[in-house]
Amino acid sequence: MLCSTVISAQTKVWIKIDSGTALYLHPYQQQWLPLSAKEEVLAKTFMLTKKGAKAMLFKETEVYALPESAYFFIEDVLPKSRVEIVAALTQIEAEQLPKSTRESRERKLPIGLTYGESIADTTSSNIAAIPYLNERLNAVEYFLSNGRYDAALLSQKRLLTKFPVLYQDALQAERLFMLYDKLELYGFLNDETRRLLSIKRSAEFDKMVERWNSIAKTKLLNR
Amino acid sequence: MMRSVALLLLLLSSVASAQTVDWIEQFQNQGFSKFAISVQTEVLRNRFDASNYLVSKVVLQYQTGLWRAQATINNNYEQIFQIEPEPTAISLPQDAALVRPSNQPNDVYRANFPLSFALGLSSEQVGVSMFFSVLMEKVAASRLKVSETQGGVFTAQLKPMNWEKQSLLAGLRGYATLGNLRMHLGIMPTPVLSIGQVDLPYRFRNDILPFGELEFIQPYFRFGLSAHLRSISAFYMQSLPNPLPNISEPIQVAIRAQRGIATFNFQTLQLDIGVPLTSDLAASVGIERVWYSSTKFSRGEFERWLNTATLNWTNSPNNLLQEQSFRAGATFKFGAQTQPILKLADLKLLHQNIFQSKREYYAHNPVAILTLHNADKRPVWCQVTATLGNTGRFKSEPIQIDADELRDVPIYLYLSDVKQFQISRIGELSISVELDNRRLPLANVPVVILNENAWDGDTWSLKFFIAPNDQQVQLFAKTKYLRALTGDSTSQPARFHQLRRFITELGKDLRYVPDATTSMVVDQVQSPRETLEKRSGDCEDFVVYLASCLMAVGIHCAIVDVRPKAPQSVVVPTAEPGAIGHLFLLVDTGLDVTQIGQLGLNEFEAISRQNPLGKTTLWLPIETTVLSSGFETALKMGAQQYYREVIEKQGIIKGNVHIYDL
Repeated sequence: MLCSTVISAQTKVWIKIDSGTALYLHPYQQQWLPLSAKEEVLAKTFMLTKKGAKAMLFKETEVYALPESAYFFIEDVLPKSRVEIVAALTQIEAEQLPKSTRESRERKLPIGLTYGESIADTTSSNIAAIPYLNERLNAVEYFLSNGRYDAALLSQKRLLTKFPVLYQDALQAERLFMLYDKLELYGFLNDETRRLLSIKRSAEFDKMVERWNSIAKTKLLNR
Repeated sequence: MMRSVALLLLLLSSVASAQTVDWIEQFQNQGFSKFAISVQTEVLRNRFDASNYLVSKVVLQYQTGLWRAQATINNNYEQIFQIEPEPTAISLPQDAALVRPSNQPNDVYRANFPLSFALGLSSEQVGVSMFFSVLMEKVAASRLKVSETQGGVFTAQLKPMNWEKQSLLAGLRGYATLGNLRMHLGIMPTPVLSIGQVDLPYRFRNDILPFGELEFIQPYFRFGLSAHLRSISAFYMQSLPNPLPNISEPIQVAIRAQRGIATFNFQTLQLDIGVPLTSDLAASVGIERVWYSSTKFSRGEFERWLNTATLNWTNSPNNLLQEQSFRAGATFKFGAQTQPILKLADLKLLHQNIFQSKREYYAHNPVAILTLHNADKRPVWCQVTATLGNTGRFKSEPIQIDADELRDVPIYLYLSDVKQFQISRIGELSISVELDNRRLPLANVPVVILNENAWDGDTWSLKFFIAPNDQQVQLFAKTKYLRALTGDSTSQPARFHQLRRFITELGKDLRYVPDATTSMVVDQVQSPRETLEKRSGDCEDFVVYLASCLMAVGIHCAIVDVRPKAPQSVVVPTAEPGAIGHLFLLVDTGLDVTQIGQLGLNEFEAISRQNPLGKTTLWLPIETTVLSSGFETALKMGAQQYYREVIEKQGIIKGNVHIYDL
């Protein structure tokens, strides 16, 4: 039961490297391994391409160019339908092991009053310390510039979910909102903006979030 | 002489005779009223002169709140004793003449209790009452009178003389209820005030005589033992269903046996039956028989007895000449506040198995849902109580149920903290409702009470085994944590390496022993203290042990429960289908997610997650069954499981993986 070696069949893709260096995170060996010129890998893991690397992803007859100097989740590169994007977004949030809702089975009475308002926790976060941050952002920008909004959205969502401190960066947050808008995922846009509005930040930031929230609400009401 | 002695024997038996059933008390217990009246008649048959006597009594009762007043009027309840005078030896002149009428009777002592009354406070748990009785005593005796006539001639004659005296007797009794036991203690009535001639040749006792009684009360029967200085007795009362239509009050059958333990030997046996005919009227019949076994009783013994006798003045139509008696009576209630009719409409038992380890759960989650129906035309206030032997209790808040309303009442259980049973057993959940200070039994439901280590297989329930405040766990964990803190301090971030050393220390010498659970046995989980002592356990034992130790030093944890979908053919030995699976632990490093690069860990090894303080920190998946192999192995195995179950199989969104924060 514990050491089961049976791995359920998951999507595998071929990676072909024309030049440069690329690595992928082997999920069971728990280490980064360099990719050979042509290698089949699991899709549900991360890949890192070095500067100047030219790599292609093959899945059956489809071929996709991969960005250089980028850090991304391989499966995000594969085109997805709207339903598949929603499922992938849900899975990204689930991977952070959310709290169980079963706590409500206990009657926990408040033992005091809470005053004040929620504020963002920025005391110990250091954005610059996020590993491969530039490469992660490169990947998003690459997908964005190539019109791959689905891959860009999933990469951006994955980045912000893993490192919530980036939500405080108006540029990063707005990029996520813009991608939701591009893909007409206004339910997600509404949820994200409402959650951020409950956490007071700068007036300018709040104004930006409110603007996107009103867009989401308008679209949802006119649907 | 023999007749006199025989009469005395009868006197003794009847006076010490057992009480008869107090039908007002029994009838009031079934339906409360302010006023009640009971009329009882009795035919007594005397075997010595073959005569029959008819006696009767009327009992009036008034009750308001907890106060209760009762008065008893007795008719023809006089007790008569004939006593042969002792021979008189006197010296008289030779010519003295003694004249004794041929029909000169023996001395006669009459005692009569025409009236008695009581006042007291009574509730379900405790009660106390004072009782009083009027005693009328009459003595008719002969006295020798010697007179000197003219010429020095003396005449001696027996002259009848009469004495009369009225007294007020007072007594006290009280009771207290503990669980199913009720203890009565009291003092039999003693003269406190006398009017008339004080010095009688024979008189009622004037000493203090205590008595006691112990009752065992169950919903459908009660059993009791009572004793005082002259006799012991036992009684049993059983409630039977009333066959009369629309009468819910049960029929009561009472049996009482008594035996004398003083000089005089006697036994009595009584059988009484009370039948409620309507909600305001009950009929009762009874029979009593007395057996004697003594033939001699001296005057001296009689006097000693009379001075300390227990005269049963309250209930029994005691008559000197009684040998067997037949009773009949009726009890009425007036101005009755008819007891609200609460009926059990439904009872849903939510937990057939009661796990002692889940005592916190049962305090907040009902074990049963009771549905009560108020069939009355007015709203009632009531409280629902439940007991599970000595293991658990519950009493609801006062509940108002409107007329003709169906009300669901959740039954919680507060289980004892005392670890009572190492083996599982069958218990009975007794549910009753209290209204107007009376308790009405509603239902008795059998349940299984499982031992302290029994686990229902629900991962959420494992939190009840986790004991970070256990003294032994605290001592062990803090010692190890201190050692981890004082280790190599150059590696950064220090907090992560301290945690790594701490978990390594906790895993030393642990031996994994697979669970021997079969499909017939409920899974058992060791307490962290037991795992500390044994240094062995299975998957759940290690999760409980490691979580307890980590939480003992303030480190947050969560249990990851992986539940493969069990095929229908597989017998799952736990409470919830599909609950069998595997568990591993998530441990909060307390480090910000941006520090993941400093740890040298990848995104599958250190998971970004919000901790109970609302901060997103790095959590480590730890496989507890390989703890003895070291932190790195446990982390690697945990990360592999996290990847396989959460990312690859998408277990969370498919519902196979559940997280429980501790």
